[in-house]
Amino acid sequence: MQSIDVLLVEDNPADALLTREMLEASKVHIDLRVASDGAKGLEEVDRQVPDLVLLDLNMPGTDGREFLAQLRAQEHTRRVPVVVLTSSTAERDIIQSYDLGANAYVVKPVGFEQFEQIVAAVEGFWFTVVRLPPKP
Amino acid sequence: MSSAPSRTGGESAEPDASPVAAFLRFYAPVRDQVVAGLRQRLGARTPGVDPHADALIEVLEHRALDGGSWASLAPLLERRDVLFVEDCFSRWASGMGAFRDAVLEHGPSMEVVVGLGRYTDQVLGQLGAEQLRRERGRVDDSQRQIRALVAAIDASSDAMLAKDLDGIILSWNRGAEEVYGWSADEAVGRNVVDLIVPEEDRENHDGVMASLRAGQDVPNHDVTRVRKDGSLVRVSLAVSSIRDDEGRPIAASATARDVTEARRNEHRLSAILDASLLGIVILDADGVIQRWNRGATALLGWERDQVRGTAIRDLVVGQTGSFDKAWAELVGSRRTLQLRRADGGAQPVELGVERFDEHASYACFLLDRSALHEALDELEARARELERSNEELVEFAYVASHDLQEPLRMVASFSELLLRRYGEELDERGQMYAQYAVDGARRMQGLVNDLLNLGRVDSQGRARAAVDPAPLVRAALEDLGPDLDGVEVDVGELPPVMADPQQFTRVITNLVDNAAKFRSELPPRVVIRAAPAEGGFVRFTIEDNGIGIDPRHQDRIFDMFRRLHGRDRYPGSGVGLAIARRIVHRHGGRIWLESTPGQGSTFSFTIPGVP
Repeated sequence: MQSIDVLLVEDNPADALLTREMLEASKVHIDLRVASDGAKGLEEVDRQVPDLVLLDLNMPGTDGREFLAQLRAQEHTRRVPVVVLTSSTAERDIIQSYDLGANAYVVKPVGFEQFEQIVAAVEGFWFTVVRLPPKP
Repeated sequence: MSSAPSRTGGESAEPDASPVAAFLRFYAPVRDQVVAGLRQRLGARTPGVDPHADALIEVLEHRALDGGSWASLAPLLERRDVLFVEDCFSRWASGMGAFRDAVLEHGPSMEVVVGLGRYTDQVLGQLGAEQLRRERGRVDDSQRQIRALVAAIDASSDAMLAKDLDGIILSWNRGAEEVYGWSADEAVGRNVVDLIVPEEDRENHDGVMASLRAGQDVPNHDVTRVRKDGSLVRVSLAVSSIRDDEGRPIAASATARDVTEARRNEHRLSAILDASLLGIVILDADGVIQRWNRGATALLGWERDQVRGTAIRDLVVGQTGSFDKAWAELVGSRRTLQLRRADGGAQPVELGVERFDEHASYACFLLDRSALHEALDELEARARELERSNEELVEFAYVASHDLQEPLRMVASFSELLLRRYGEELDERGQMYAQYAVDGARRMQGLVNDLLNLGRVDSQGRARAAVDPAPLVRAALEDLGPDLDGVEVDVGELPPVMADPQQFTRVITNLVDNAAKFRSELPPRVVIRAAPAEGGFVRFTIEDNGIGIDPRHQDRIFDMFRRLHGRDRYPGSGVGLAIARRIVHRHGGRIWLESTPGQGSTFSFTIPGVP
């Protein structure tokens, strides 16, 4: 069974749980790894380059911005798609994230419906662009 | 009389043998008699007649001795300066014709002498009248001069008066009438002390009179005088003595100028100068200090008496060598200098110099540079403080929004997850509880977002530019989309404005949203108009036919989170109008509301137009 290797870099366990819950409802097979800060996230990347990174920005220690900067600085990881997943709606965070090479900026959804739409969009990418088969 | 030897008598070389000698012998007693008679007649009134009689005698002797013509007597008469009082001659002036002709034709002779016995007084009178006529001619000239002088004196607005050494007024010109109020008729003959010298000045006046009697003039000085109506007048007075030929003081002339108004102006000027917080220094044409106000004392510490008469350049610290040149450049401009202070320090001063009056004096304005700098520094510090606190506020809003949203999101998300995953295991009440938790969290998040938006009005405002409002209004209406369902929107001509386009759009969005939201039973209609207003602003009006707003609430409707209605009926957090107001204020405009409950509302705001 083909699955997507997703690395979630997120310090808040509740958020990590919420994201896991949402992704589990996805029609795509997802292997989710969770790193609790940027440094650990980079270690996970070193172990295996993920298909997709879901990245929180504000974390203790190495934060999402440094993680993103380093990811884009390494040749073998520079093309990994990164979706910034944050609660910040500040313009400066949005601009900075895209400047650093984020592929998408998603404000952490409040309600389920929003989350479902995001997941559906992600699924659409994998089904149509990467041509993964859906879950049986 | 026909045998008169007059024509040859004077030619005799031997006086004793001549008829002249006989004449003299004959005449001497006659003369005494004549003089005695004259004395008797004129004595008391004309004590000086003796020399006049002597003059006549001398004239006759001269004529007799020299045999000269009568015409040659004229210089002699003039030399003796014969002058007779007029009325002495008026009695003798007639009936002289024939005898005078005889005298003029024949000269002195025995007949003349005999005639003299009867007519001496007539001759004297005739001669005197001649003399007087001549004198009068002279007097006419001098009278013309005097009249001109008097006219000049009268025309003068200065009071001019003559008084004797006791103070009795001898003359009083029109200026005096004006200054003191008394007419010449009223004043002449009275004592100045009784007339115009006030009680408190009498002692001083006595001193002046004493000086005059001692032959000393009294230079210009200011005194107070009383006018006829009792009011006081301040005059600048100069008194000088009038002397006789021997230089003895016999009277005094006083010239007084009304300086009441001038002194009042002077006092006013002083009051203004002293009331000024600026240091003000008046200099004469040479830069010497004439006046020095309190502001200058406060600034530099010098009292006015310490610096009056000092050249301003002596107060300038350093650069005295080039000061004169600098001074020339300074007039009409301003510059910063260091001035010497009384305590020895140097005071930075902003100095402005202007021409003060036609006497080529200068007014210097001194501004305390150090105080100015302190004030500027303080202002700057406050601005920095304000900016810092504003930055802190923005930072706070950012952090608060982020940190408040995190737990909110947790509450909302997990409540919802709970409801989805385990909803079926909950009873109806449990599901309701969870639903309330979700609703509450979402609403709270809406409020936090609104707060953030309000904060962003300042933190994320962009530069203003000239913009055409029409497309922005269209964008706002599109933005509202479904919320405007069924609302008829009428947009008029909109003049261009200077605005942050995004924020302008926001104002329109919020106001139209507000107008469309509070609908009445009527088909909803919103009318948007704009027209130039005063001060270069453009006034926009957004008029609806909705429920209107009670006047009681009108002034609070722009407050944050102000809701006038339950959210069931009219949803929204109540921050839209607060944001609109903040944006309008940020643009320097104002926003207000006119409304009649039940008849709709008109929101107006002004925004700078394009110059």
